[in-house]
Amino acid sequence: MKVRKAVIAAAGFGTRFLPQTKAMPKEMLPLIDKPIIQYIVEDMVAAGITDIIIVGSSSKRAIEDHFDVANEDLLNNLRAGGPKKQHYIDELEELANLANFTYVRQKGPYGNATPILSAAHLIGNEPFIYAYADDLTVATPNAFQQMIALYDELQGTIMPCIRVTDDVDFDRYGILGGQPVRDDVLKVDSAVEKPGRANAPSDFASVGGYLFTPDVLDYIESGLKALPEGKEFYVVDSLVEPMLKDGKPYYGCVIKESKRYDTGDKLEYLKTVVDFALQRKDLGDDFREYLRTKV
Amino acid sequence: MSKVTKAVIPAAGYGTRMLPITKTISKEMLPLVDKPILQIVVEELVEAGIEDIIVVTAAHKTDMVDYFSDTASDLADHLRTGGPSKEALLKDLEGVKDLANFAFIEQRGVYGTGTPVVCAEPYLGAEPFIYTFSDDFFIAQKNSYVQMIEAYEKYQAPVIGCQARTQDGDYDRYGYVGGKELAPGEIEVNAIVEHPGKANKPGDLASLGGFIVTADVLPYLHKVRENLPANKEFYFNAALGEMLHDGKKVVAKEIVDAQYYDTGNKLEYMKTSVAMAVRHPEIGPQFRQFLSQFVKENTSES
Repeated sequence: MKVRKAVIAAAGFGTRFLPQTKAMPKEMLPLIDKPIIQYIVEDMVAAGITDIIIVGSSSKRAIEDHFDVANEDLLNNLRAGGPKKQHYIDELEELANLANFTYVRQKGPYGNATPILSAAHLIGNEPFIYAYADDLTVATPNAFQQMIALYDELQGTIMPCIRVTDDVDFDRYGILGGQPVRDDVLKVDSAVEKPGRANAPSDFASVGGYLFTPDVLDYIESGLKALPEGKEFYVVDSLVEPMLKDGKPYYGCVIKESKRYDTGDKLEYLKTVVDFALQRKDLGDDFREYLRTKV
Repeated sequence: MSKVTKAVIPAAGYGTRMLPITKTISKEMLPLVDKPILQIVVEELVEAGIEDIIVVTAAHKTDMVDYFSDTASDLADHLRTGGPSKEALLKDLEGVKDLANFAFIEQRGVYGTGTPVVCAEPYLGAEPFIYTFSDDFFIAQKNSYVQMIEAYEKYQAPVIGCQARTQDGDYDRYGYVGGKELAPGEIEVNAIVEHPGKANKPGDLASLGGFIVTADVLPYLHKVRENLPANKEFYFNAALGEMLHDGKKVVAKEIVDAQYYDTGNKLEYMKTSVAMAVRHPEIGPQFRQFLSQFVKENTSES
């Protein structure tokens, strides 16, 4: 079945960016002139996704506004600017028509499986991408395109991975065990959270984000039922492990020629901003010169 | 003479140069690391003794009101459940609304820097007030607004905050003043020219630090507005020009020991973001390391 749906988790408070995130969702933090979440949405759309479900909260209205048609005052202002502003009008129209957006509020226990629970009734019997809104991977073809190609071939859940070498990374990531299908693709039989190098079953570290098979929704229900009171609801514990135990096919795949950006804290966010600005045709040279000479 | 405790900040622009982010987020609310540009301007004003801040804005730009006036109680609640580790964040969050008395009013009128002051007129009274912009600021050894207030108190005349700008293109970008020096960096203005071009510059001091004026300026502002030709921009500086014509004293104060930061276009916003990250108490040291690595790599290549 063609992959055409995606769920984006965007309900966090973004307290690491306070005070900025007092009145602005962290997913809307700009990388230069475009919010982080728009980069993710654009990559999804380029990969053939047509339906995007954003799981948010009451303070995330700006995300809904951003993917809506532009406010008429702004459009009038741009129209008054004549032909040289026309490209902005075109760009705003494109932005409003990127995909079919659905917004749901997150309800349920704390944890990264809860957004899937909140979106489950909208997914149906289809594979879908599950992504976090502060996790950006730049690759060609893009990370979602690579995941979908692999899903089309192998018909199992796809977990994007990096190969880790540093000791600290084995204490930082979930590490996958299993049999290599080919270079950079692993048929997964186990997932161990932060095992340390000595106990790591491989060097495939899961970096978050999934392309799930439709049957994951059965496990959402049973996982929630089995969850002890007051416990957090995690993808790996409540979904991945039970599915692996039942022999469901899971594949770890290294995204080729990719660079990952974490925008989850101030330092990494600023580094990402600098990196993106350097790659911009309209800014890169002047900005590079500034960094080389003025800082 | 009454103390300078009020400020007017124009913030009604659409920020189209920063699209698409400004479709939804006001350009004044774009972050410099972890706080909005406008907050840096506000903090500089507050440090200089400003208590009442009138932001002249547009109806659709609700994020500024939410940010500076709202209690954000959901978020505050969430932080309280986080215990002692979140106390500093809670303080930051709750501190924002207590920075000053904020009033947000809607802008109506012709395009230009004169209009926001006309809109704020009913709230100004006879006191002196600072009129300063929301997308650029100085970080100075001695607060730039304090430098201007001292000049205002000394001369009891309107003050224009200035700095020398001498690149060719600058003369087409800023307003310039000329006049006679009263003391080092303090000039009695005899000419104010908006975008003079290099050939017609009255001097090298560009008007970019804001103004201190009193309600005296308002009749002149109305006069400029009434006589404004169709399709012309309504410049605040033109009212000060009218005051000069009338024989009133206007002083330019050169802002000293200060670095000017602009965020009005993508490139300047990026440069200012980097500069603020370098100065940031939490991420500054690590970010500087990241940059020096970048410089090393980029110098060895060339």
